[in-house]
Amino acid sequence: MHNVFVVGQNAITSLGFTLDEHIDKIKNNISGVKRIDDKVLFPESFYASLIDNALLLQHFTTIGNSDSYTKFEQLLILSAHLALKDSTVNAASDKTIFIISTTKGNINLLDTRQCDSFPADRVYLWKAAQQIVRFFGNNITPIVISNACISGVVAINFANDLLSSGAYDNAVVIGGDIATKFVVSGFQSFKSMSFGICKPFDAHRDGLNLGEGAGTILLSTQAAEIDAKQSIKVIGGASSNDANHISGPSRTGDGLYFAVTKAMKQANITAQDVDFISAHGTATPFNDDMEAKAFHRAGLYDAPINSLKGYFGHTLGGAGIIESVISIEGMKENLMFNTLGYEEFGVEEPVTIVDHLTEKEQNYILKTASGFGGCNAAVIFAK
Amino acid sequence: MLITRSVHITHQRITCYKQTVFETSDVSIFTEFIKAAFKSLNTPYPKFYKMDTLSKLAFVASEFLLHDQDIAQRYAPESIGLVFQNAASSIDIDKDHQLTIQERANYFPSPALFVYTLPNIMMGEICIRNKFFGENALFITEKFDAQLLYNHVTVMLAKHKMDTCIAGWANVEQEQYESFLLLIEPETMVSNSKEFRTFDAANILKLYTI
Repeated sequence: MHNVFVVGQNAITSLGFTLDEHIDKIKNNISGVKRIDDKVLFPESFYASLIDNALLLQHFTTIGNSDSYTKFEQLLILSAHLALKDSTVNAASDKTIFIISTTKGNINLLDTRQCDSFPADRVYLWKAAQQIVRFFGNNITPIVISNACISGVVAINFANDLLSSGAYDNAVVIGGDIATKFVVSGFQSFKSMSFGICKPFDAHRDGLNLGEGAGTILLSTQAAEIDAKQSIKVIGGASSNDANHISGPSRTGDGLYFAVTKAMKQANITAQDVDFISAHGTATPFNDDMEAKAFHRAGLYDAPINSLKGYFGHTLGGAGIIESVISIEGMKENLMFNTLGYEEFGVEEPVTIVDHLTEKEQNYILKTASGFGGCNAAVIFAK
Repeated sequence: MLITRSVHITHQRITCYKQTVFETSDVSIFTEFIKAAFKSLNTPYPKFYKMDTLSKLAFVASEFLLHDQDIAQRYAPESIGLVFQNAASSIDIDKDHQLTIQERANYFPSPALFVYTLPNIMMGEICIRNKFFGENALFITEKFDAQLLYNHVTVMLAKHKMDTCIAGWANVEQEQYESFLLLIEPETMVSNSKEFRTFDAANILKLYTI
């Protein structure tokens, strides 16, 4: 089995187009979540983290023809491009595979009045993925993972399994979703959206913020290309199902507990080794309780936990990747970022929430995600 | 590893290996066909009726696959994994949800519809029904990809992320539907192991194209 290293990263959200912009704003507790009053797209106002479309277009036109790519495709291409340009990974190589994580991709194409300038078949995720990899001149069929909100973590785990087996040298793992009337209306119908900036793990949390964004992690087994000081490895991961309810989190946390304990077993570490947890932390009442129960049961009561949702919302298919990217940057600097929105402890089991920017040596970090369909996933990164 | 059972649903027929286990020429539309197939199992499970077309298809395929298999008794629930593929995601219910939000004058998005606008919900329904707590992965591929399925399941089994796997394909778009599921188990867990095919890409394709 080969070691799988993180050799490049990017995130694009309302906070910016580079990692530096993200880290700078996160260190200063700046949120990109804002009140959205766009009555044409969304009948009711809501709080969300949206990317400035004009800025996205401006960035994209420096690398490609914006008429050929939908907003979703532009976002993922731009993120992968920014991660790749500072790396030695050859995106066009037949030893490089693209893995794409998304929940709804180009779902806005279903509304033909809004989007009639693209072929209707681009609503198929495999088709959108082909369009994305062609940009990079890659000829390997891309892998698309669409597993609700755990898609990003499942994509990283899949890439790790694939690369460690030696099938490819490099994986470009991209995840993302855009904010659409389709998704916003659905979450509004569920009444799961917060009436302000979300408050993960807080006693007064009232729901989530949707966010749009993309993230990219470049993984490689080619150790020669790695700066030893900065080398972060993916060392294990797992997923699970709650077997409880398709839209409500498990009341017991059993599913997430299984994913976390299996991931630690895969990584050959114990709960005591975990220095930090980047939780899913959507800030819905049930989700955060479920996570606290699962972490507590897994013996992870001392490992500090944060949620990044207060900075850029829940980016759905992007979340597992964007939040891993930010947490890996923190790990490199031995920093744990504040859980923006959190003030007063409010979950059912005692866990440690990161409530200010904190320095801590981090050798092993755990990233988790949970989603509709009762699915959970966990991945462990190591220095 | 062995393929201990397979189920194929397409063109108003359900087959297990080469045997037809359900067939009807009475109903021509998918929703009626899948309801008739479900009823033929005599399984009281009212949740079936509220599922979207994709979940109904995958659910019925899993019921035929797991019928009399007792796998929840033979394996730890967290070691039973699901690895699925699909091309059209949840396109049928996506279009239904889109209709509820298209016109401002007629705006009524429903959580009961919206929840099914994620294709992995079909795996959630199967896990709920059978109390499976293991791995879940859903790949979106243009066509059924036997090699991808074989490669991924093999790595997951080798890494002991799961001990047994329900793997395959479930796809529906209006009247075009097909599901093909396999039950994959280690030789050590099967008493009459010589009766079954080895789990490899060639055998998967053979079963798929019977």
